[in-house]
Amino acid sequence: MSAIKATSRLEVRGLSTSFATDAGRIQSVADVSFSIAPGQTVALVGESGSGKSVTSLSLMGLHARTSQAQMQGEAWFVRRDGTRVNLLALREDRLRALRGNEMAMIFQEPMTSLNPVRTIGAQIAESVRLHRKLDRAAANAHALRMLELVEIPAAAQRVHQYPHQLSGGMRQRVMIALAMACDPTLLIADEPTTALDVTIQAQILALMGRLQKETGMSVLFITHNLGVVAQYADAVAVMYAGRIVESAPVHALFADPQHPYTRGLLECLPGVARRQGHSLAQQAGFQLFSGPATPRRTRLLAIAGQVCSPLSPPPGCAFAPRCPKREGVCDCAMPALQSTAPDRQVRCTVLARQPIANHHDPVTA
Amino acid sequence: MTDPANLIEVQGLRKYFGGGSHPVRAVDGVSFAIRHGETLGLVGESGSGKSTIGRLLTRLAEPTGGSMMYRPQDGAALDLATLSQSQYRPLRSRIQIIFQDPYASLNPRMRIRNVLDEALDTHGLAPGSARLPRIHALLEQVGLRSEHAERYAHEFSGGQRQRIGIARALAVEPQFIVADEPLSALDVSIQAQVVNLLCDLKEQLGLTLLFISHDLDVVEYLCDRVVVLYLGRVMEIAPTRDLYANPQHPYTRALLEAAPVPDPAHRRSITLLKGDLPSPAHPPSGCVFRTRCPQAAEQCAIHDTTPRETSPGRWTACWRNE
Repeated sequence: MSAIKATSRLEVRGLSTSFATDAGRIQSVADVSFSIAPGQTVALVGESGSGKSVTSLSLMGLHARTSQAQMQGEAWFVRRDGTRVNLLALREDRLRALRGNEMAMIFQEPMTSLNPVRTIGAQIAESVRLHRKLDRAAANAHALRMLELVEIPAAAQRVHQYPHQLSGGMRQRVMIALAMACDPTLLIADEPTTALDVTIQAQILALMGRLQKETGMSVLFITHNLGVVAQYADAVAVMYAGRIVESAPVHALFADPQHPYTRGLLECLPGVARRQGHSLAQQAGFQLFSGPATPRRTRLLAIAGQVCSPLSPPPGCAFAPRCPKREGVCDCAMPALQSTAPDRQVRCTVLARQPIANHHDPVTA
Repeated sequence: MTDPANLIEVQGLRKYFGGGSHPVRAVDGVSFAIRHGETLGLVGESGSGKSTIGRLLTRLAEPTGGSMMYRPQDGAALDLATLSQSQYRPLRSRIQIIFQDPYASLNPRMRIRNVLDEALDTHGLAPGSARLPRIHALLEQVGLRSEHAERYAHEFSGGQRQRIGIARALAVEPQFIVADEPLSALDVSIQAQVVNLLCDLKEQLGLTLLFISHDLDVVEYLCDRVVVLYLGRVMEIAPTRDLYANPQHPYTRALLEAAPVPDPAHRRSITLLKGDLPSPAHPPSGCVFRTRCPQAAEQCAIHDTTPRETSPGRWTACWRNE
């Protein structure tokens, strides 16, 4: 991603976030760097506890005070007027002027993110009255236009309804309308379709894609769903235990995943196993789908074990305890994120020593 | 539908919630069969009634109407829908369920040993000195270690808890297991472990499985045949390979098309379904899918949409597939 740095809308360098817990400070995010160009969609992918949501909340300055979050690093955001600000060092009132205005966020669960006792129209109007200084009538008219923009049917009636009167998909459209109300240049979408059914997910993704094309906003898309990433993102950063382990353009990542974790993640998907595995199974003489009694399924390749606890991280690479390529050096120190191609980076000691050697054999567990 | 190959035959199954003139029709006239030893997938979106069907088969919910014939190879056929709870009780050692949320389905105040004890006690299995070895064997069967028996649920990760849920279901040596979204709460890397475990156990123990899921990729991987549900009705029933290669019902096509493919080389624009699921208290007349169907026509409002067999083993509710 280095090629686009000069023009990136958001550039995050060495972001680290830690929280106070009863058992001491835990490092939730460490050394996270990425950048997003105007109009680009960057996906942060990872499983639960990988730090992807903490990354987005750190950028928005939305950590609860009680969590005593400590953040390090820089996050340079280019404002509409061309000035660059470091989001992590900004005063709260300056950050508040940006939030919901130039940078907006969509959350996973719209029911808990919308105010249940205010109409959806009033919630959208509030945002533009605050940031755009519109009067009440103009703000209400703007709210209606936003609902029409996100294709809510009968928007003129819906604008007076409360969140509980809407379906899950409609609520997520309202969230998008709210986020888009001030025409942001950066949209952070944290698992925006995870709570939705697939047919509704397809509607929401199509809507987000359309709005992005029309407005040229940048999107940071946080998800665990590799199918959504493949269909929607331009570049991908894969996170594991708080660190980026691999970042690459989307086509390169799926065509040639390099980090053992990324490869494991892709190979354990039944859809991928089907496309790759069935031909193998057929070559091996298995008859596929012929009847319950015959052996016909190739086993899914699974990543053994589970994510390490953030309270007791392993001494070296966090993925080492589950890694099929593990060697002695993996336990010595956390490997650095190293470039393997102009816009690709991988955090793996073994790969760095023997660059891209025989990485096509499957990860087995 | 009576066929010696069938273990379960569901006929006209209904479950309405609430009284009055417009009850919520969660399951509305569903018929399908589950063959001995097969894995049948039950797919649909939220509100399609798939979990309710699982709860009706295990009698955790009481059916409003219809029949659920259970035909074990070693006994007389029974209608699960008409048994009283006390009559059903002995059958619970034959029919088990694995729940979706491994965090909510284990008692946080019980050691895992006691969780399994309870299941074994209920059916008088492995008494006395056979008990502890049996518990250890069960844990090892699902890929845990025998020392895990002394721990509490909170000491386990989500994947391990789901393994405990599976061990609890297996404890009573069932022949039929309803797995209600057993993977939904798990991360992808852990999902694959549990999928492999379910496959292995099914082969080793000769289980029959009803696999309830909204994940079409997992269903394709795991299931022999698939029933597609929408708003409490059956849209299509077909062998897995046929359904995925050649879906006949417009809803099945839309569902398959909407699932994002994890391959950026296959980006495609898709036909989006309009709008939302209609209210199950006021389902549309005729075909319940017609309000969102890209091919809807006037006839759809009046046509009978009871699924018909269009070719051997394939059933569809769309009148176009005559």
